[in-house]
Amino acid sequence: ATLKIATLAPDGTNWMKLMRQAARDIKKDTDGRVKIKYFPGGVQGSDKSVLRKMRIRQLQGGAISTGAMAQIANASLIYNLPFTFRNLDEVRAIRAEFDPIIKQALADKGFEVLGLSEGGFAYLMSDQALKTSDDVRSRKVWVPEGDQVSLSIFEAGNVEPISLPVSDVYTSLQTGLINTIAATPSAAIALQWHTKLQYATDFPLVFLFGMMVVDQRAFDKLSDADQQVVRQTMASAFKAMDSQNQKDERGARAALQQNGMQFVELSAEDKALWQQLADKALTELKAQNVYPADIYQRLQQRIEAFRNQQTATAE
Amino acid sequence: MKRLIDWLHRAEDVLLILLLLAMIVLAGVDIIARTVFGGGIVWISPLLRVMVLWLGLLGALMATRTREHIAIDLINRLGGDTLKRLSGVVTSVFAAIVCGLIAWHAQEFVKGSFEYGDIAFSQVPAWPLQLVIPLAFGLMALRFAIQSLGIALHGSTDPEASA
Amino acid sequence: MSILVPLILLLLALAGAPLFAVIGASALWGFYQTEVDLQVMAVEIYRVAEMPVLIAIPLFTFAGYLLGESKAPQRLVRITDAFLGWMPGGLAIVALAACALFTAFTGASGVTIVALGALLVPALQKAGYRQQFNLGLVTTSGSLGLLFAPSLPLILYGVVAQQMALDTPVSIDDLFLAGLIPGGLMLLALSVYAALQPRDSHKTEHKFDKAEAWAAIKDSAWEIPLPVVVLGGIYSGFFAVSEAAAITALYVLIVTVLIRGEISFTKLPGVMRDSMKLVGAILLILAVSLASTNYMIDAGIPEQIFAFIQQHVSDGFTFLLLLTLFLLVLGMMLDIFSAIVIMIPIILPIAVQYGIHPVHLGILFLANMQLGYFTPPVGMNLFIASFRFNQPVMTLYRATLPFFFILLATVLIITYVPELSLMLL
Ligand code: NA
Ligand code: NA
Repeated sequence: ATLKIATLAPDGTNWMKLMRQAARDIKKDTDGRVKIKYFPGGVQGSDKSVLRKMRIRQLQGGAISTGAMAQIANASLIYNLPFTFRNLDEVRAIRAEFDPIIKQALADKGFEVLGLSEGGFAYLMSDQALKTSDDVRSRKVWVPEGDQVSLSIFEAGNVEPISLPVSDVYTSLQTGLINTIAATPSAAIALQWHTKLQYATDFPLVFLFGMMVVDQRAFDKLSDADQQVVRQTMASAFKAMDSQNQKDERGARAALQQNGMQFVELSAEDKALWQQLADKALTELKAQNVYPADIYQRLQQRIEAFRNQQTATAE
Repeated sequence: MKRLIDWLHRAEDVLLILLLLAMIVLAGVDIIARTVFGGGIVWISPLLRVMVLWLGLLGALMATRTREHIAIDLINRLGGDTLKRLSGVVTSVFAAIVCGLIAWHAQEFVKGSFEYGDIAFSQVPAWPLQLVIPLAFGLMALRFAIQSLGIALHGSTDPEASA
Repeated sequence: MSILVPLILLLLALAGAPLFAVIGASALWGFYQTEVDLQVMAVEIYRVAEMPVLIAIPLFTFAGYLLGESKAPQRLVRITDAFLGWMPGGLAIVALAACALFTAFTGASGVTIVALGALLVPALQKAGYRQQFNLGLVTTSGSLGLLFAPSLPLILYGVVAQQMALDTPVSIDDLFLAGLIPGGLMLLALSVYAALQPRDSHKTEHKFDKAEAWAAIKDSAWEIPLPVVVLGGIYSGFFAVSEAAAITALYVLIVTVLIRGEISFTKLPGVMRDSMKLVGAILLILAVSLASTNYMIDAGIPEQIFAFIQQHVSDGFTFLLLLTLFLLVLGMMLDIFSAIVIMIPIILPIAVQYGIHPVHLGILFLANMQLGYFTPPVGMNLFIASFRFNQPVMTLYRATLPFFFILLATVLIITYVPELSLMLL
């Protein structure tokens, strides 16, 4: 069987290289019974288009943002809420417990999750140094179209962001239609947005995740043994990808600094103010049932425990 | 029958004109919201994009009434009346079949969208917005079919007589 | 069997079947052959509602129709005659530059032909140019400007090429700079051709007349702010493109209907319907083309053709020549965004091996794509112009042919003289 998998990630990236290697391994280990064909670069359309094409079985899978998957199962969003994680260690500490929850929520909707991939922390980047939400209020802030979580955070801070498609961001930064964005260092470099921005606020806004999902109906057609091969190969590919991504993000951050971007430190009070705004936004999103509040609360407890344990060992 | 068709044409015209005016006004409101009140209204641009699809398909439907579609039309210019009539019938039947096929599969697609609860933007379900695809292609199929009859019987597409 | 179906479709197209039905049928047939559920047609058609750039099309088209139906073309002729009457080809050169700038930020979707053509073709005619020349100029200009900032294809090329982690970085700003001279060369070549055009004898060049110039300005007082607001608004970051389109439509509506009264309230619905019929005809073809492009992507056809071509390459010179041919065909088959995303990752590494600078490749790639938009027999803009100006496609083939050869020559120069693209970097 051939699994046709679409992604927005462009061809030639480290991500795609690892994916193609996994496809070769799977083909070899299943004696050619399972082939994977990728459609990178968004040629099959937006995440929503890809999901529609999976529904009609033109495609069997896609590497899709958690935002788009959240409309199918809101548990997809638990890692993507603002200021949840402060560093990568915290992310790694809870994944063993919460990855299966996300996978199960999507399995209930007919999606086999082949992997969750870490996408790095997004930072506020601007043409001015931004410390408080008052600073942000004077800026023209971009939010991606359809990104409800980001929108709620900014609106909680009385910032009225400008919603534009990703394709318009470069031109809009150049003309000054927008001058503030939230992005991971590697995305800012890949899309060359960093050439128009000079400051980053050194306080991670949100941790980005992506996931590769396959249509359960297609996956069930594979023999149990082949399913195991696909799962295991992909799992180790995603593991390799996470450490590759960590390296890429670190490299991207260094490259940003080399290009003259300044990372602005925040005081403890500033950070607390941001946290207040996030809490306000989260309460609102909870009321709209955007994310599963009970699971998220448990996630926060685990992170809290991990932080206490870290400080304990440090002392 | 004639009154029904007139009514349908009138309804399409009114809907099209209202959509175009609404597009201009909504886009204007968005600019005012962004420049005067500091932030755009998030649902306006996805709505405008759907309106583009609706306007396009309604415009295409209207163009089908008088058969004003982009075409090459080489044989007609070289051939005589019989050939013209023949190619008129054949191409109309062909267009009717293509539109009919698209309309049929589009309604299947919209049904799927409804069942899966596909969301277009904000909390708006996608299926009512997608419904324009089977409707427009279905009506186009009907119009092309009636035109092929018109050409076969009268030798021309009488725009008054065709739906 | 495999040759029979395309042959029948070709015959149907020549017999005057609507082009959208022919393209739609080819997509349906392809998907049917590869056992893809035909609901995919609806998925692809719905993608029209996911493309932000398209919002500008109905709005600019409507504005263009209003201007074309009003007396704006006469006023445009008067004012260019007053200021540029001394210059051979004055109005034609203004038209070329206007189209190039307009295309730079709307893309080559045909909206330039529809929106500006409505104004420019009657104006050029009144200025005494041959109708053939006018049609050719406007059709050609529909894709002129892809090389100028802030054209989206240029940005997309930069992003895709940047991912390839090449030794030479490809910055979008560099691409903007690199496009200036090649794009300018195209404009210059066409301007020279325009200046050499014969005009009706009584409309020959004359000296500048101050009084007439002032009168012409007053006459066009309502139109003059338009390019300033639209271009200035976009380039200064005050408007997004779709917003500029909305402002234009609203402004032109108020001026032509309420202020000047050149289009009456009873005539207005007719103009709206006519303009939206054209929008429908264009978007319908675009929608089914998305489906046929998707079939080709799904079946991996562009990659196969390129692999075939690559077998016959031995040196950089042949590579560029075959690449030019391939890109012309590709430009006719695929939309420009798909072409970039699919082909650049394949072409770029090979091009680099032959010593081609990635920025230069981007410029020549887009220059070729630009040509593809009006390459006979199936360049999309030929059909759009044929429809808009109610002329047989054959007339458009003839009208664009001189322009095609002029631009083909400049494309070859751009291809084989990389310094043109690289000297500003
Ligand atoms: Na686009
Ligand atoms: Na094309």
